Amino acid sequence: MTEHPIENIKWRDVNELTSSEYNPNHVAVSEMNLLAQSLLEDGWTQPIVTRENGKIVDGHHRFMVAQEYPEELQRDGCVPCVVIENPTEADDRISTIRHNRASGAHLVEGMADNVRYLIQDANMTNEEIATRVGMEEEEIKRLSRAVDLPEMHSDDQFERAWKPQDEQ
Amino acid sequence: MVYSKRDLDKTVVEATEERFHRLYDDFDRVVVSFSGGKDSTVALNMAIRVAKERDELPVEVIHYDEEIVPYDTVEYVNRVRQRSEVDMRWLCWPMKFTNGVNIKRPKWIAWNPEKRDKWTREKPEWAEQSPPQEWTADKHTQSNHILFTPEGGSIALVLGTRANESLARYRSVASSLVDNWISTDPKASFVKRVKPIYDWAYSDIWAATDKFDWDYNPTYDKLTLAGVADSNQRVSQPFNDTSLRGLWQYRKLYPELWDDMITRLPGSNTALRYNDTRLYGKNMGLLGGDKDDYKEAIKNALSDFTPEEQREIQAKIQQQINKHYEKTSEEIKVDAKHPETKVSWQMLLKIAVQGDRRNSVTANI
Repeated sequence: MTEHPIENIKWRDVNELTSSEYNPNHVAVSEMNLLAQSLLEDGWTQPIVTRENGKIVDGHHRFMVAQEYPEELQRDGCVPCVVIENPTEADDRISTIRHNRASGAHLVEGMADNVRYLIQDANMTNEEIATRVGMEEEEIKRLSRAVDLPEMHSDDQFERAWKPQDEQ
Repeated sequence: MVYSKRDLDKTVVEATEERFHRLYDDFDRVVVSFSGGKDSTVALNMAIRVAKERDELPVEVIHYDEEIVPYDTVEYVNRVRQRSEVDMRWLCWPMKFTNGVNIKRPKWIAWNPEKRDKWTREKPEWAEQSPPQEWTADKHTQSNHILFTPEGGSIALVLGTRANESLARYRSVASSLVDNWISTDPKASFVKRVKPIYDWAYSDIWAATDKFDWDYNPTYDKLTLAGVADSNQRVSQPFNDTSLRGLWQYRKLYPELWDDMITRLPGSNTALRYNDTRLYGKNMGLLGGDKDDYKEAIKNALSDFTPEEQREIQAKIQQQINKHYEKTSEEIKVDAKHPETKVSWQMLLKIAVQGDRRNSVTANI
């Protein structure tokens, strides 16, 4: 590829853009809130991917957030886009799926390290982490504790032994 | 007949010590089957406590290495192997397991000699590399007659089975009034399979590990951190149809192993993504449906197969139905498996979705 789409970011009118009905990616409410938070705190860091005709290939949910926050996220009614020109709808669908799926899973221990850093080294409260990272209180609690199963059961009394008996 | 419980007026630790004394009194050899899991950890350490008291150390241990094993477990088992109280046979022999992630290959063979380039690990140098000639990869857990010879005398093979784990396991230790925790190996009369920690609760396992300061497999701490409920914390490999839901644990806790698993057992990634959906016979959208809904769904599912496959699958479903009505006159229920025949309409639908896995064997992987 000699020229990358990112080299030519265009601010396009939100009214020119349409969503693609085939996108299987579902973003839950809590993740939408986090996406909004991310856009509002960091600003636009990556453009919406569109066809020349305005159909969105990737970034559908960022587009939805931008519609909700015109003041903060639109410039003269426009949002940042790049254009890819796929020959067929099949290629469009493939591009959409690839954009969605080429992402990793977060490793539990790595995430636990990050949460512990925010609490211990950066002195953040659970509430602040909850809002800014988009975690439930439950997730923060679980991730921040050091798990030592024997220690957790150190006060348990041993159960009584039993054997089978005939019901009288 | 499954019996109720009688309190023995002592703790599980005291009772288990007595049971091990009895084993050392009555048998020529006591051998612990050790997986690296929490339950066999308790069984082994209780054996060591009693053997030490009787001056009968070291404790004989066998460990079946199932190839797809996280490094935490491998390292823990190796620490146990190096203990002076332990005399371990570490077996890296071909073993056949259910493979729920690949429709064409319903079984996979750990340490399959033909798939050497795909193994997820090398065999440890201290492991027994090749099995005796009479060894087949099938049903390795029922091959004790190959592992041992009668010349060594009578053997108590110690298993870490606990009644609390499932109804089936409760039945296995509560259907006899005398020596309920001892049974004869079906293939080798000189081997008794014994379950001396059958009455331990989950909390007992960890309370004892804490109290006696035993080493243990850190996988359990990680599973707890990851939010896995006590009863779902398993270290055994996750490719059974019923254990596929645990695949994400490998993806998230042992990513390097996961990368190798995808290559070793193609289909793992698909199962990770969809194991709780209709592609794997789950959540078919028939919640509250009746028998006719299921019949309709079976018909639909069958239409995905070739006519020849359809006949095979139909035959298998019919066979399950016949088997059910041979044993009982009770009607097949929609989602509750019959306690004896295990048949339900949901289960029959699953066969229709997955195909006749048993007969679809091509090359093993």
